[in-house]
Parts: sequence; C-alpha cells; structure tokens
Amino acid sequence: MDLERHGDTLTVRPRRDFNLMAVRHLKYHLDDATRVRIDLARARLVDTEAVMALHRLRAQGVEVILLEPPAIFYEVLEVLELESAFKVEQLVERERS
Amino acid sequence: MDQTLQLPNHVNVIGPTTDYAYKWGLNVGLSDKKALRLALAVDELVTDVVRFAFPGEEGSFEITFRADLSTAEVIIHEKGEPFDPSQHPYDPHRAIEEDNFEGAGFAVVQHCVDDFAFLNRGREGKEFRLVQHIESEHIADLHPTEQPDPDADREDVDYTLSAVQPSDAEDIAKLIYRTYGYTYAKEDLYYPERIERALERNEKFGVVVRSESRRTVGYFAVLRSPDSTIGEVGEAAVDVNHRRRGLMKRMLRALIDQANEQGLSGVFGEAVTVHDISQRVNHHFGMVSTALLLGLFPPERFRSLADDHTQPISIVIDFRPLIPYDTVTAYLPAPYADLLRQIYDALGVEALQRPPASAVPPREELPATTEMDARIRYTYGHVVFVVETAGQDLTDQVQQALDDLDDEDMSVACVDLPLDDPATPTATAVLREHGFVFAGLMPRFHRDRDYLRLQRPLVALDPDAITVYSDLATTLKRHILEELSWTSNDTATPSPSVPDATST
Repeated sequence: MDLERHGDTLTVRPRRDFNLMAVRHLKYHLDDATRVRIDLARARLVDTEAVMALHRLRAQGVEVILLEPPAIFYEVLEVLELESAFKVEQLVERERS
Repeated sequence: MDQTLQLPNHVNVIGPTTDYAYKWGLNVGLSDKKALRLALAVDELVTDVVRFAFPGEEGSFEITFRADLSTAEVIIHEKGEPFDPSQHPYDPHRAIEEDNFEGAGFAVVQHCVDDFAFLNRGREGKEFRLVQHIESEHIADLHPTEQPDPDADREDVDYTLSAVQPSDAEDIAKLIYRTYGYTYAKEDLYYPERIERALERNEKFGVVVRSESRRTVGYFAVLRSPDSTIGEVGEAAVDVNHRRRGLMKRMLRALIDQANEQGLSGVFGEAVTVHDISQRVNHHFGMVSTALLLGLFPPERFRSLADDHTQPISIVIDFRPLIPYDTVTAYLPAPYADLLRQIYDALGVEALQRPPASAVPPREELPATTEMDARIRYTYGHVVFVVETAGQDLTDQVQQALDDLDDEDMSVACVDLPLDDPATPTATAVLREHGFVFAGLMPRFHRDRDYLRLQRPLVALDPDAITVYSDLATTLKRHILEELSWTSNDTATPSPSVPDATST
C-alpha cells in the first residue's frame, strides 16, 4: 500500500484489493489523520472488512474520500443496504483533484 | 481434476487465494464478472476462517477448486470452532446503529454465487461450498440456420472416420442440434466452447464421421472419469440422413480401440429407464447392468421425455471391463452378497474372494471420524458421498449434510463404500438402519476400486415408470423395491424405512 501524508490528510493507494490486509495497513498508518483519501484505482475488490472500516472511520469523525472504487463496491453496498447510510455521493470523489 | 491448497490461518493468505480463485475461474470458463464475484465470495469466506475459526491459535484449512464443463465449485474446509452461518443473519439497521456487521460477509457471499451450501461435518469440521454456473453460447444462437446436405439422398456416400479434435467442436454442436433439436440429454453438447474445452483438457475423446461433402454426420465420445481410469460412453449422434449405414457400429469399434489405446480399464453407460432403448444398445455392445440409481436426474434434463415423465429419472449403470477382471477380494455385506456375486459373475470375475467375517470390524472398532467427499450436483438434485474411511460418525455426517442441503431440493442421496475395505459391511449395516438401500456395484468408479453404492430416495417415485431391460437389471429393481417396501403396479409410497422421504 502506498501512502502519502499532507498535514491532516492521509492518502493511501492499496496495490491490490481493499481487504482485511489493506484495512490493517490503513489503521496502522492512520495516526491522527482527520481526512483519509483512499485511491482504489488498482483494487479489483472491496470486501465487507473494507466496508466496515469505512463505516468505523466515519463514525470516529474521520472524513473519508474514495477515488475510483471498482463497480463491485457499489454492488456490495447495495447487498448490505447501506447506500443511503453511506451517502455515496459524498463518499466518492467523482473526479481526481 | 481437483486442485487443493492447504493454507495457514494467516491474514496474508487472503489476497493470493482471492487472486488464484479469480484466475482459476477465468481459466475454467467463467466470465470476468462471475470470476470476480467468485473471488469476492472466496475473499469473504477465507477472511472469516482466518479471523474467527481458530481464535488465538495457529490453524490451517483447505480450499479445493473443482470444475466441470458447466460448473465451477470452490470448497473451503476447516476444522475450527463450531459455527452455523444461518444463525447469524445480517441486519443493516444493526450494522449502522450498533456497528454490528455480523452476517454481512455471508450476505455478500450468497449474492455473489449461483449456489452456496454450508455443510456441518461434525468432528470433520465445516465446509463452505461456492458454485458458479459457467455460461456459454448455445449453438442455436451462433448458427440458427444451416446449408442443405448435398449427400442427404445418396446411398453411395463414402464416409471418413477420424479422431475428434477441438476444432470439430462447432460441427459437433451443429450435428447434435440438427439431430436432436433441444432434446439431447447432455446439455454441454449444445455449447461449442464447452466441447472444445473438454477436448483440449483431454476430458473426453472420440470419433467423428464426415461425408464426402465434409459435413460432420456422426459423433461418438467417451468421457473420462475424473478420479478413475474408466470412461462414460455418453455422447453419440448420427445425422438422420445418414442412419442405417452402419456408422454407429463403425464408430463404436473405433471408440473401443481408442479406449484400449488410452489405457482405460472399462467403459460404462448411464441408460435412462423411461424406455429400454439405451439399455438394449448397451447390452448389444457387451455391457453388464451393475446398478439401478433411483431419481438421479431431474426430468427437465430430458426435455423430449419431460412431458410424459414428470418424476426424477432413474438410471441403469451398464459397465464393460476393457481390462478383464481377474481375482477380486471384496468384503460383501451379507444382505447384498448374492446380488453382488451375480454382478461379478456377469462381469467375468474369475475368482471372487470373500475374507472371513472375523476380518470385519464391529461398530465400536470403527475409527471415530469418517473421511468422505460430498459430490453435490446442485442442478441434478443429487449428492454422492464417496467414503474413504467409514467411521462411527458416518450416519451423523451424512444426515447433517442432508439437513444442510435441505433447501437444495435433493431427490436422492447416495453413499459409495469401497468393497476392498473391511469396514464396508459394518458401514452398510449402519446406513441401512438410516433408510439407505442397495443401488448396486460401481465397478472401478473411484481410483480404480470397486464401490458398493447405497441410495436413499428423498422423493416418492412411481416404480412402474422405471423400465429395465436385462435380467440383472430386473433382479436389481425387484430387490430395491422390496427393500424400500415400494410396490409395483401402484404409485409408490415411501416406507417407514425411508424416514425423510417427502412427496414430490
């Protein structure tokens, strides 16, 4: 997982899927970041461990932004009936800044 | 062929295992979307095993990849803490309000795959089974119309026989479609991609016949068994315009030659019992009836027959050894000894040796746990438990698996017991107490060993709709009906000895 830190913002780029291993890496490097950008351009899969991690980060008050999540991420949210609770429009950055 | 990985319960196996599942799925013919969903399902289950199956300790688990032409199956087997996913349903409100995502992984798994089964195997642990159906293009969609046959009305056509090649796949599919319409039982033959894949993988071999105009007018093939050196004579077609010209006999001779050259120890046919035509053909070519399998296939599999036959289709196993039987040592369970002896005689066994009864272990001396493989055919509605070692928990494991498969609408459950195992008579006695009855001999069916097959129908069947041809098949049918207390000339009612039978 590649990481960059700019002030309170942590940007992570999992090299593979956004799964338990990636979640553990993310938590390990989180420190006191209040904003996390997760670039999923290289991820094929986002599993429920990742979804749980996103939920918990946001519950802690961390602003989470996803870039280029794979299509299956939306499918997982739909299966878990979490689309509205996750406010996907706010969660996913449509264009790279 | 199964591919099995033994893995430690470490988080770093999740990614590589998921990657492997994805690539394997693509290789066996899944679309990218289905392979990806299978990979996600594997990710969820492996994550669950790594996190929860062995709390605070080192453990390991197995993951098996199994595929045929139409199905990709992944089996995850672990012996960790007891767990039943049905007791942990997912609740989205609980997830959001209480940060409790229990059951979320299983909800995703069930969404991602075409079939999901959880088997509790008692002391042998738990199995999670994921199944994706492999989609292919039907020949009717690829080539809805064909050119007329220039040789159709000629009597003096020269035919050429040759070994079938992967490049023949489309022509074979066309022949099947032209000959049978939508009614041929082996559905894979309507999909050129599946035929090509099977030939490339050497899962089958056979012959094709071409007419002078190079049109494919005949096809006959043997499908290799995945775990033995026998093959099923299971695919045959002759163009309607080229029948009664001896093509079937010429192909079968060539096929038997090929089977001998390829070192097969025997060939078998699965003959339907809604008529006796296939059984007659098999016997014409020297096959012997060795088993009658009740309700093995759903009637929908045989579309031409389904209108008249709405009950699951029963099958006669006809077998011809290519390597002659010599001396056979078999532990024959007493209630079936005479029948098995008759079958062995018909197969040409020169000397059947029965070890003394003292060699058979009593129940209390069986190992504590049973080692067996459940071969579940979801689309056909049957399961075969292939026993490697019969243990004291045999019936518990079988019954638990059937309970776990309750939603799958199984028609019949079978158990295969190795006849060279001293424990087989004891295991047979135990299974008989749980509603299992004789099915027959499965010669050289698993790892070239002879197996006794027992069966337990889970639906009621009309015995009068089961037509058998040979004397031996007639004897088998009579015995099986008696054992089930089913009466012929009457609609069958499951007897008290089949406690879990349900009405169709």
